[in-house]
Amino acid sequence: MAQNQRVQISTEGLNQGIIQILDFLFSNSQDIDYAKSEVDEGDIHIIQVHSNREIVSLDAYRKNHPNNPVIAFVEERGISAENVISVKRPLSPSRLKSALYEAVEMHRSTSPQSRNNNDPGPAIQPQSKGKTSRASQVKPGVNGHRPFASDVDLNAPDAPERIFFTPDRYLMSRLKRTYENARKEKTNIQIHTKMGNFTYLHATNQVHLDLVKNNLKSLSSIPDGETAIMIDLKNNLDIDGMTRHFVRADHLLWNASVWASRGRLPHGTDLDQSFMLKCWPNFTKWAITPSAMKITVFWLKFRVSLRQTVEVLGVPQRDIFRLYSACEAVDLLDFCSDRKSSNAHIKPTKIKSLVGMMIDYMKPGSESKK
Amino acid sequence: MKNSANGACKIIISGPVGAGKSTAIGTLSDIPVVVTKELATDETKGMKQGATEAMDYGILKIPHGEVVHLYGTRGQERFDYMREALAEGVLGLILLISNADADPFQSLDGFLKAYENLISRTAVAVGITYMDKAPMPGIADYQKYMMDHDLKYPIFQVDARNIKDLQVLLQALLYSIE
Repeated sequence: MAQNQRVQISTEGLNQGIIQILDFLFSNSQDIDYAKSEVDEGDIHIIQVHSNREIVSLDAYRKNHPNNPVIAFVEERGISAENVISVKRPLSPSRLKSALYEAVEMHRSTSPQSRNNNDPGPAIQPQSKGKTSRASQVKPGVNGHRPFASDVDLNAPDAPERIFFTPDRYLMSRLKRTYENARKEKTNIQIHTKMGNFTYLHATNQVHLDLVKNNLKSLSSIPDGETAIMIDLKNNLDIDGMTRHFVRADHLLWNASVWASRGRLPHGTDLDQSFMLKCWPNFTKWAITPSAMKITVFWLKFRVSLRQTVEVLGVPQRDIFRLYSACEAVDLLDFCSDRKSSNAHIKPTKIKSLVGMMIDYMKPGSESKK
Repeated sequence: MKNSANGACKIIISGPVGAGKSTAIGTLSDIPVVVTKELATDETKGMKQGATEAMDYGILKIPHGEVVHLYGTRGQERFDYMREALAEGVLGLILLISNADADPFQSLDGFLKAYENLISRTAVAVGITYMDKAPMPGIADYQKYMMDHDLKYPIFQVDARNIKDLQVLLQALLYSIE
């Protein structure tokens, strides 16, 4: 994080074990000025969800504090709603840390003006036992052209502070440079971190992961001040002797970019520069961000700027920015030399009713007989 | 959109022999799939045991009583005429290409050309199967193929046994329909 952020965290109702973990992780943090508070005073609310009672309580909290991020500890199904970060049990310090950093970034990206906006979106529906989380999904933005609660006014003078992040401080940039250097030198390169190692194999364009799987998201989303990454050059690795976990290099870079971005853009991105997508991202294996397919089709069809995308598409700004950051990292963007877009009638694809029903049916989390 | 007496639509799943069409329909279908497999007696005998001799058929049930028919077409060239017969009233095409084939790009090119008319009227999404067994060429190579040919079809790595992979592929197809 660029500067210390004083964050008050509501811990009322949390069990002592979780409070102890929070104290351990953050009481001496150099990035977050951590303080516990009562429920109504905190900037970030943490809640343990065991039953529908907590869902109702969460909904009531969101009505009073529509822009405060909430971290919800859930049993199985995540809660999909604006500013709610779900963390599934079993809890671990790394998951809690990652969620809290994400919440802090959400809080920082919310302007004082939008904090006064009393529109948290539709209520979260109580979950039924044994059913999927579809009943608890909240669709953001009834009217596609109305700004969402988390959207930043792009014309505001302080917008750059809130919508940009510095990729160089995150794992994604380390990976990108590693790939480039390894391909150039035709060698294998290893990255060491506190939470494990990555080894890029240039011959197969794969990365061997020697770390606990759940650490990958934390490692990707926390700036390097916390992870102390360094890079070693390794040759003549015993590849056959490596234990299994290999992933494709582009897959890892895409996911690392999505997690680092958290709905922001790389510093220096021109909001008015026109571009198109070169091709579809590999969504079966790369993390799908919310609204990704809708945005992808739009960017494949039209040469538009980010500002136009936000104005026309009717999806949350952070979904657009997150997808853009990932596409840029894996070089899927084709930039126009002509700065102004030449599309006269830009509009999102209209989804016909049967196709629309099928799309909803196919979405992850929808009720499925399988 | 509705093209038959009962209001249902259809999606064709096509591709070369052994790409995973029958498996994919079995994974997606909400009813037991009608699969006919006999020992191949033609040129496919050396390629695959039990090559499909007739169409695979399944149904995808979606809310409000709507039904989508899934048709898996033959991979052999001598059944090209069946593709034309099936093409009537189609919502879109899913093309499965096996990465374990000797020349998957040739297969991809051939099938895209064979279904050119259908694709121009509807949409196509391409799934590359068996990438776990044959990692090269990689998805980046297929993406480059699409860019070089100025094509903007979805092309994903899929496992025909994995419902989530197929759902994502199907979603991409549906979003591609205008």
